[in-house]
Amino acid sequence: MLVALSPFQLTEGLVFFAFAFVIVACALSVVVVRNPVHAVLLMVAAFFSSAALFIMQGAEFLGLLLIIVYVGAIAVLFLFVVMMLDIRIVATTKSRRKHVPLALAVASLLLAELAAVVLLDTTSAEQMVAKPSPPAPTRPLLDNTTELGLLIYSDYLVVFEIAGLLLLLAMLGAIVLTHRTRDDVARQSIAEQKARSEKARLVKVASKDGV
Amino acid sequence: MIAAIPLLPLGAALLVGLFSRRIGNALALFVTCLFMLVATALALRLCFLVVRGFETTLVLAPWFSLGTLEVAWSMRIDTLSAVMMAVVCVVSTLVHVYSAGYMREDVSLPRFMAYLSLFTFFMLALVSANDLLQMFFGWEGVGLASYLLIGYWHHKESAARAGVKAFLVNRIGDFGFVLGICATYAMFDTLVFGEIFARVPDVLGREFSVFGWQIEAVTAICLLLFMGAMGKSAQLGLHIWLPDAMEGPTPVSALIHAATMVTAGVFMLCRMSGLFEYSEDALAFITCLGAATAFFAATVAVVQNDLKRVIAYSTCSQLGYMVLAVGLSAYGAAMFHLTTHAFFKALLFLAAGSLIHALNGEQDMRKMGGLRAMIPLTYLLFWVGMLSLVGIPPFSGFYSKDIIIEAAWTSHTLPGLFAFALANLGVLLTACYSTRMLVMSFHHRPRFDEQVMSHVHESPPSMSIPLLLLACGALGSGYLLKDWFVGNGSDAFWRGSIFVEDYHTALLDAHHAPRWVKSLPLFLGVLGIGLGLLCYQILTTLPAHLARFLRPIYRFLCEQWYVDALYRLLFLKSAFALAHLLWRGGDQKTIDALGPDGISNVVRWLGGRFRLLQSGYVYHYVFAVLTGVVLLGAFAVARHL
Amino acid sequence: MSFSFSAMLESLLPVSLTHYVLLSSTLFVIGMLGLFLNRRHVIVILMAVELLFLAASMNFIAFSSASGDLTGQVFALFILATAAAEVTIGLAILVVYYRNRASIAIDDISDLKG
Repeated sequence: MLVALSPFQLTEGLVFFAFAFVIVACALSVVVVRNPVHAVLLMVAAFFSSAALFIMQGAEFLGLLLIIVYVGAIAVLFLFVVMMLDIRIVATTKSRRKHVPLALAVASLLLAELAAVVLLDTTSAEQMVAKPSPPAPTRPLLDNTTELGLLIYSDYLVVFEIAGLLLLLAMLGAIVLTHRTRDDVARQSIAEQKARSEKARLVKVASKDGV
Repeated sequence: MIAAIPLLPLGAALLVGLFSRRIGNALALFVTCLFMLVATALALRLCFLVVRGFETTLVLAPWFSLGTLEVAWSMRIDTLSAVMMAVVCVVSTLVHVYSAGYMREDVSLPRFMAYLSLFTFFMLALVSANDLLQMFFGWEGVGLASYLLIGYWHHKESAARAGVKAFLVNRIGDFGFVLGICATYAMFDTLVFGEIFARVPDVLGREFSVFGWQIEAVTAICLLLFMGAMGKSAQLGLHIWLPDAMEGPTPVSALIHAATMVTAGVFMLCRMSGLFEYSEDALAFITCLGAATAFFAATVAVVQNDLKRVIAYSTCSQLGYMVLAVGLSAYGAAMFHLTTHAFFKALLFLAAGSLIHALNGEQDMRKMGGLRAMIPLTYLLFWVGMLSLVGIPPFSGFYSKDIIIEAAWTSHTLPGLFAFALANLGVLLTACYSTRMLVMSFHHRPRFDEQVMSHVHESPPSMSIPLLLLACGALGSGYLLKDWFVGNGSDAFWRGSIFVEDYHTALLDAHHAPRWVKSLPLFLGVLGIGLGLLCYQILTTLPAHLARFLRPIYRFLCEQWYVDALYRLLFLKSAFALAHLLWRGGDQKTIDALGPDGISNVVRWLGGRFRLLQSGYVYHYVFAVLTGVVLLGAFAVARHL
Repeated sequence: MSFSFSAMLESLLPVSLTHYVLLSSTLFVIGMLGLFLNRRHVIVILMAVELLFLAASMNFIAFSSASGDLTGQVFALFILATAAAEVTIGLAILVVYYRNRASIAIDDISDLKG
């Protein structure tokens, strides 16, 4: 039985499936390809498509954030590390065949569970969402970014601050972990210079007397 | 004041023993010797008081009470215990002083002195006991001290083994002693000596039933108690520990294994005279065994080459004389010989110690000789001890040994005659081996090397003064004490402390023995000395010829009548086999295999299996997490089905 | 039986919450696969974790927009922050590890092997 679809719905469906296809294909490739540089680039594509889907659902701020953070920062970080580490493309030699029965057993159990959920549970996802939709707004809705900001800086202020702190900690952690003093680079150490000098000497100064 | 006699040595032992690492050698010597001197003075004073008629029983403190059995720490002061305490204190003090010189260079001298004092305490607790249980306390205590002192040089394996051997062999005797105590309590309902003796008439005629075999109760008790005495006094059968005990330092041999501890068995028999008098069978057995020991030990002593072992077998032999005297109801003679023996045997041992000291620890008589001129004082003292041991008048051994041999004749019983014959043979052999010992050690040319020669020296005063005092004892004690111990005044001397049935008249009749009986031991003694001089001084090749000619007998004597070998074959082998079986089969393969080892093996095996889970690979862990999630999901789905 | 593209498309439309949930599930499974099928580099594991985060955020946003409640988006934001922190630390550890071992091949990393 066909339901008449509006052109908007038709377009929306096409766009969704196009992006969904890209996401799934790229994600799979990220996992499968051998060259890590390719994997990073494919991951960028997957995130890009996801951002598009976010925007389609009205989450413009998050969609753009995803592009800026992931495509702009994290992906670059990945690429940077991948290239810095000079990772050789290693071929795995170990046989995986002996693990196949176990993998099949777990996979079939998972499949059976999913089938059971789909076949036995008649409640659709929409019904699960509390339907009498949000209480009538007391004020006209603003755009997505503003609404999000109002929420973050009121109800979730503490959590938001903690998230910021977490990012700061991550930055410090990364620096502490990767920082090292290098012997082949000239640096000035004032304390060492002072200690090396022959003229300087330690004088025991009597308390309250001065030199 | 009386209680101080045993408590002073205990105090010295605790003081010096507990602080043995802090206290210096000099202080340790001073404390122990001083305490012993005071105790000796008290004991001698007590002895004089008792001789004049003083008698008491002190109850110091309650020990325990168990049902109707009430036991107290107590001291029974009568002639028997007073004499014993005096002997123990005097010899112990002299040995304490002697040790100051003999053990001077030992690293753990305070420990040694503490052991000596501890031994003295236990010995005094034994002899002053008023009941069998306290006597057993002292009995075990001296056994412990003996073990500690035999194994004093514990880094020497033979010494440690000898200590264990002495302890174990004594356990066999003590087992009999404990059974005897139990049987006594079962029959008499008391363990106090006086009460036991008072109740003997009620018990006479009652019987024990052992495996359907009826045995008279008094005889059974006597034999069990005598078993204890056999162990402690090294009678034939349980004597095997005494020669090995010579591994201990020489002062220990003199004090414990000659003068005091080994005579505890004889003392106990005398103390229990009120019981033994009622069992003719037990007395006959004691007579025969004592005589056999006297003869056996004397024969073995003839072929020993170790100086101290000769004296040890000699001690064993003399203990046989004492025991056979007890068997003849001649308790006074037994105590008399005990006292004189304490002096002359301690003298012999300490003189031997002086000799060994001079030779830097050499004990083998074949490597001695020619010392007569180098250490004349020791030589002279050795003569005194030896003549006393052989029984030449006027030395003390003459009086005490002769009275025993005469009593054996006048008892007019079959065991008595058996004892008379063996005792006389023993005198002959005693004279032989004593002369041999003396000649081999002091006469002829030196058989040791130059290096030892340069060391030979007369002992310091701390050693020679005790020796001189003991020599006085060995000289005079026999003549001075004979009237009190065995003579006309003996009844008044012993008063109630020794009980003799009216028809046991051997000791009384001994004074009226035929002339030939009286002179036979002396004649045999002189003959023995003559034989000894002939074999070892004049015809020095004769002993070797004799040994070759009488080879089987020589072997037999060298192997100590094969007693040790027999025990090894009969008991040790089977005991080791059983122990091995229990060790391997019972302990290792059953208890350990199922217990600690089994558990640890299971844990190790499980650990080995579980270890494989910890592969270290991230994807294994992720897979485990995924599997867990899937299983949880399966659980959730299953609940909704 | 007639089969046409438009008929198939129409049977799948309109786009609803179910579509997004299915898409995020698929993404999650792929990320999961990447975690333990991957045997080459730890860095790919980090990327797979990123995919898992993405699947989670997608779920949040889908439900948020379906119910008209912005809280879901707030949580997607936090997930984003957490993911950024995680990847920073992860890559830093990776660099240090590489510096010490000169390899980040997963098969080489089994120091915790029992």
